[in-house]
Amino acid sequence: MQPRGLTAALPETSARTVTHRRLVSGPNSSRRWVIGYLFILPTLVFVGVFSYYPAVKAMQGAFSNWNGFNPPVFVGLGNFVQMFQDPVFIASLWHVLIWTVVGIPLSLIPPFLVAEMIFHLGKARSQYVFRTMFIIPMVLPGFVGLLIWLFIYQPTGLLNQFLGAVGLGFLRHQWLADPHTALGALIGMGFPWIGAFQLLVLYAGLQAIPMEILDAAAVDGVGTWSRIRAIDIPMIRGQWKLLFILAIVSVPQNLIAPLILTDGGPGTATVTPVFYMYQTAIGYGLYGYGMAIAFLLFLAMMLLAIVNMKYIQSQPD
Amino acid sequence: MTIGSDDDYRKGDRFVMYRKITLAAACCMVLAGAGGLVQAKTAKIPAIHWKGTINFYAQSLTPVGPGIKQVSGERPLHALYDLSVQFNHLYPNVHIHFVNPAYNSSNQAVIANAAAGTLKDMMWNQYENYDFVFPQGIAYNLMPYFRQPNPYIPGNKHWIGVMNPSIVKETLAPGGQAYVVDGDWLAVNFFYNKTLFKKAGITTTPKTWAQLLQDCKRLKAHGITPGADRPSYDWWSRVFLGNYLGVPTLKKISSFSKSPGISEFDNAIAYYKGIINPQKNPRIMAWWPAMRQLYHYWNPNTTALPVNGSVPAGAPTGESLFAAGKVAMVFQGSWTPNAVKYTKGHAKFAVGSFPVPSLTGTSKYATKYNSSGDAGGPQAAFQFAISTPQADHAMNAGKFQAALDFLRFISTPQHDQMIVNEMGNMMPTFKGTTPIKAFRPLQTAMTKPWYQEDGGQYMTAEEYATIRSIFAEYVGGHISLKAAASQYSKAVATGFHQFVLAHHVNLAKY
Repeated sequence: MQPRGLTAALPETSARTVTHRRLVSGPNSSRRWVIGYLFILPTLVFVGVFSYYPAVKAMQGAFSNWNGFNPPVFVGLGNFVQMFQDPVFIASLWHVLIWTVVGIPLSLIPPFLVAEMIFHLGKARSQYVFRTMFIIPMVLPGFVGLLIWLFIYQPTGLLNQFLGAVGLGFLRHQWLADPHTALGALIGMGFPWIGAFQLLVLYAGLQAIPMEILDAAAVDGVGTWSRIRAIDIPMIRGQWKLLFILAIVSVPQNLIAPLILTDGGPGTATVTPVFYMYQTAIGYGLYGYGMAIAFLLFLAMMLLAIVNMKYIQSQPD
Repeated sequence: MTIGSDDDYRKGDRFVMYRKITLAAACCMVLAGAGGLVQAKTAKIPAIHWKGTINFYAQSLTPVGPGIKQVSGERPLHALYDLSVQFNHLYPNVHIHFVNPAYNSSNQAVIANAAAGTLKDMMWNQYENYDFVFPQGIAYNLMPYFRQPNPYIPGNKHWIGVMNPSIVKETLAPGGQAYVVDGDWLAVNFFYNKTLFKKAGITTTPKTWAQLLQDCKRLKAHGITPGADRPSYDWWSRVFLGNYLGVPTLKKISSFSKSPGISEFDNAIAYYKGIINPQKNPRIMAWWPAMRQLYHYWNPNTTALPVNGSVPAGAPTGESLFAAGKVAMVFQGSWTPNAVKYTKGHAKFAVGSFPVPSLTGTSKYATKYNSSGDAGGPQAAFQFAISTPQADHAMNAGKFQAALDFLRFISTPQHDQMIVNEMGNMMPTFKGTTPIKAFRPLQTAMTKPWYQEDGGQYMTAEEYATIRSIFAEYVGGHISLKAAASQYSKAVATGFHQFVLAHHVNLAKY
């Protein structure tokens, strides 16, 4: 129920603002402020201790030589100079670039095609059934999924057996052990790349397209591909942006797959910057150098976030 | 702790009687205070005024006891537990608590725990880790105590006097610090499934490398996978480099630090002088093609696994496939027969073993020197260190003294033999000890001058991981020898430079 008087005549937001002003300037305002801060204090403490403090320490550590145990020694920009002379780090940048360029379309296009197919199923019940079927794999822990792919890629694994069975035995390969195929094998994991999260987001976007538009297109005789190109894709631009940004932020941070399946190898064929950060710090005890890599990653992510806010989110959908 | 519990594990154990006698003797020793040796021991033992519990992570030597069950693939052990009881009788205020063997002792976990000050009081870990991987200051330098008498050894003047000098040398850090007491020796051999060999019509074990490859071919022709494991650069490098370099060169490398054995310091100088520099000495990588030939017959699912880090959960390993009777042989440590025996659901077959056959013919650099004993060494189960207060906030001067005394107590020839032989996987190394019957033929490898030339792979942790990876790529057939040589040269050069900087090696002296 709308309140009467001055606030009733104002839009909802303005009414809220007025109420807020009354609270902060009223006789009990300072007490209310204190209570408000007390409520958010536990969260602030946790965020400070577990998010900001380590990040600040990592920034400090990036300029030091530290083995994780003895006191760090300040080395200025030494770690950063070393980083750009380090062939493994340079290789890791190339790997993540390849992973991003190939991996992002793989993470967006197949879910979109499936979302389209489900959305255009005739019956709501059929949509529900297929949607559920594609979502159920979400309950599978990621680690288990990786182990399944380990067995698929084994020299005597499912992929090579399949290639042999269909007469393509000459393509059989040690997918994860060969430096020429290991990175591709990691990128290719998850076939047919129908991520449940992406599917749900895109499907929700399609559901939000006004039916009048779709009906009008049907009346005008617009074909399936034309409709997808001219209506569906532009109308869910917001979802595309969200998923694109999430993908571009998450791909460079892919640690678990190379860690579990290849340990960055063979050689350095699957080393990514975040894996290299882990390896140098945790594996080799070069925490200062690892923190320098982390710091650089942080800057890159922040830059992407700024680009996102400035140039993508601000544009009208 | 209740003596006599876990009877299910102890039934049929041939050490039970020995243990009971030892325990009884210990009780008599303390309670009655009578008997020659006993009296001598008790009369000289130091007083410990500290009271409390020492947490001891003994890894694979952890005895079964309250809260600690037998692990599949491990023999149930009791010796350390019994010794802890004896020690407790000597010092009623000092208790030894054995940490569950599932405790995470990975390098990462050790460094993280040390940084947090939560490392266990007494710790097992590889001496190479204490010397080269872990930050300095995690463990006490025991060298000053090595030079003092061990009061639990009658008449002993220097504790180091009962230790194998080559092993002491091998295990020292570049600065001469001794972070661990090392009391056992691991032998690495081929272990084979006698049933599968017989099925393939192989009646004698191979004596030459060519025969080994021929046997692999025959096994494969009979539908049997000859072997399995991740490519093991560590052990194979010692076997081949020892043989290819020959004893005079090995002696020369060993002489750089004026004491027996080859340390990473010796390797750094050897690299500096070009002896183990692959760009200057073609012997250093001339053995890699022979290894590619062998691994060609190994189970590809195991050779394709990443060589650094743990094997992913559920992935096949050489040990698991061998225990299941699915491969004919493995090149593994002397724990293999027991690992098969104590693995739940293992296949029933007799395990035989044979040493690395003659390397003659593997390349023009092969010599007649028998380096088969160079695989293996003191990288085994009896490697115990004491954590510093910086790494273990529960540590203090009194506790250190108590832990040191317990370490001295278990590091006597008598107790070293008791602990190591009960496990039955390794050989005790202290002077005067005798291994179990199965290992007696191998004991000479430990007592003769011994050179473990590993090519300097341990100069840094990064170099070690890189070299293993390059080796695996090459033997897997994914890169050429030329490419491998180029990468290997870079890795070892980087390792050398970092080692020289980190340990302030004065190359001008050499």
